Amino acid sequence: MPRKVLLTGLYTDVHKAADALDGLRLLGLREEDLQISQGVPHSSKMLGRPHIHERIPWASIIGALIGFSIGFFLTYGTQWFFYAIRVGGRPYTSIPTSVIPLYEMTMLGLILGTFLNFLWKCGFPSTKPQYYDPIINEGRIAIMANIDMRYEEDVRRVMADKGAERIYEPERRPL
Amino acid sequence: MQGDLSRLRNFVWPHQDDPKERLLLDPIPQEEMNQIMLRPMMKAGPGYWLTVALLALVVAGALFGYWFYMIRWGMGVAGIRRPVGWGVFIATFVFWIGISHSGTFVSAILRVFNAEYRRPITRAAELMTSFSLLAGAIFPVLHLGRPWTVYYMLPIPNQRLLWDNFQSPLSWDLLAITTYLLSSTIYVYLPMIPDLAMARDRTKGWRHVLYKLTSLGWRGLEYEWHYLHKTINIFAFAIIPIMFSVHTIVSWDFAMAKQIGWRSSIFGPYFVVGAIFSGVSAVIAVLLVVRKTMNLQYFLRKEHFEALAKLVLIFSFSWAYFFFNDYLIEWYGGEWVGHQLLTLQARGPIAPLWYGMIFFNIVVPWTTLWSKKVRQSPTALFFIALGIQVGMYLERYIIIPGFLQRQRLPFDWGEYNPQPVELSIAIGTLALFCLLYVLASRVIPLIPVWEVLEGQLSHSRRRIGKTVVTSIAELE
Repeated sequence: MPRKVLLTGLYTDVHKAADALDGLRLLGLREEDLQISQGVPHSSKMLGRPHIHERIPWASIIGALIGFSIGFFLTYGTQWFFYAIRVGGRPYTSIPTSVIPLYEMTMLGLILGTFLNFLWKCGFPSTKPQYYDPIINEGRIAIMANIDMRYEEDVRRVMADKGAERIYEPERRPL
Repeated sequence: MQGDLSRLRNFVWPHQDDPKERLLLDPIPQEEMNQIMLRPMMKAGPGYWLTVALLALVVAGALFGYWFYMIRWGMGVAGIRRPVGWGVFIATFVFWIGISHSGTFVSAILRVFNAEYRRPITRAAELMTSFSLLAGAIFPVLHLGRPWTVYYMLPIPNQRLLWDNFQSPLSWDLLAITTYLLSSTIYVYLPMIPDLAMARDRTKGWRHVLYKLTSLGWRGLEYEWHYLHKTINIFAFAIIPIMFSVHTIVSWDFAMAKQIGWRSSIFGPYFVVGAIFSGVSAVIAVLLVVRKTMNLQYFLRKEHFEALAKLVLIFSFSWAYFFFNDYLIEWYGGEWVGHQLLTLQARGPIAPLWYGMIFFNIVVPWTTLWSKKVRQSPTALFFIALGIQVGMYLERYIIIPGFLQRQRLPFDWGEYNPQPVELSIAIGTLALFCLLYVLASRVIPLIPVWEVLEGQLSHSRRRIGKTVVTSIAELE
């Protein structure tokens, strides 16, 4: 099996980076072989990359449902199963007054579900050393291509032709 | 015909404003921008530490010192007694919850409506939300008298036969504030991750460790940006109804009671509008201090203060509308005790506070903020914003201990005189808010650099006919 190599091409603007991605695709590289690292969020459309599908709203909805269930337990469950408080001759569990805890707990669940899903999707917190170059925060766009070693020369040539500022093999570094 | 010709002769081509005056049309290299943000964070001169020491001293003495004093001698050292059971403590609590609306309004609502001027100011405003909620959350605990019994609010099995009633407005408060504090803290943290990563790559020592831990291993990959944007958008939409619910629930602490002056169906929106009014003007005051002390003139420009000042003026109108609505109904209702309450405000002992409130919340903003010159003057804006804080504090003071002085039956009338312990603790929380902010200013990048860069990416100038206009592209 041919050895793999990771090559990074640094670009100073999004036009050059998008052209380079086109060139690499023409060489036969698949989208999953390419990664972009950048300090300013250029969208997938700008770079000509496929849209990322995600399921964040589902996580938010699941979080909201869990929150609602906890709210239901606090308002109705405590009164039914643990203790019943009679206040001023009013019902133990009235809908108008229960709506507020239910609403707050639902929103809390939604928020936490969304946040936890973000961490999970991005693999955060990440403690392992990663391929990364801090120069991306100086306005550079890094295209990282994971390729067979035999195509290295071709990839280097395409990256250089499309205006790469520097082409190199990145190192894993602790973040 | 003659008139038309003279008008034509006097015609001036549309003024082309200087693009360099607008942050999003005045790009500089990203590294330069990073340095403008990081440089003041790394520098902490004697003036800074002196400020920290003074604020810490006030927090220790005025807040915690007097709090321990009150625990030692009992709640009797405060001026609250029948019929005024809620005084400065609760008025200050409502004030801080109001300030907390600054961040959410400026950040979430302006984000949802794509108001581009929000970009450099969101984080500084969001931080205010978290810190003011912390300052405000002290008061319900403090008001317990025995703060160690705060766990009674939790539904845990116990031998006390004291159970939490989740149908009660005070329990709603606990849930609403907890939800708001957690969501606004995550909301301020999320957009901060790329900036923390930027700081991680440029620092050493304890700062590097701190930024390394908090940036979670951010690498700026495509999918990281994508999920970050998506999550921030969901938060922006979700946090707006949370914000509205929090101050509405705070207003229900009062409106649910059979107290004259409190039982009003417009208290919810009245409180929310008042909170946004005080919150946005507090953002102006804080941003002006941040701009001056941290040399952030590149990021925080006249255009931002002008836009915020316009919002303040609009919310001053809205607040006045709700205030008049509430006042007129009490006046027209003709209830005798209600009229006593109005007399108390107009000619009674709290009249100076009532007129002060109208002066700071209506007279000053209406007579000044219509002028562009005033809206662009940092000094004028700073004092107007501070005045609004005073006015809104007076509003809360009048509604809470003010109204409680007149009950339905005259035998239960009384006066309220705030005691030094109450005033000290209120000032102590102000110092706590300032202290947290001052400390955070040296650790947290107050300007979301990547958001500014993203905004600059979407802004350009293009010629239409005889003039050059600003054009904004949709990036997504």
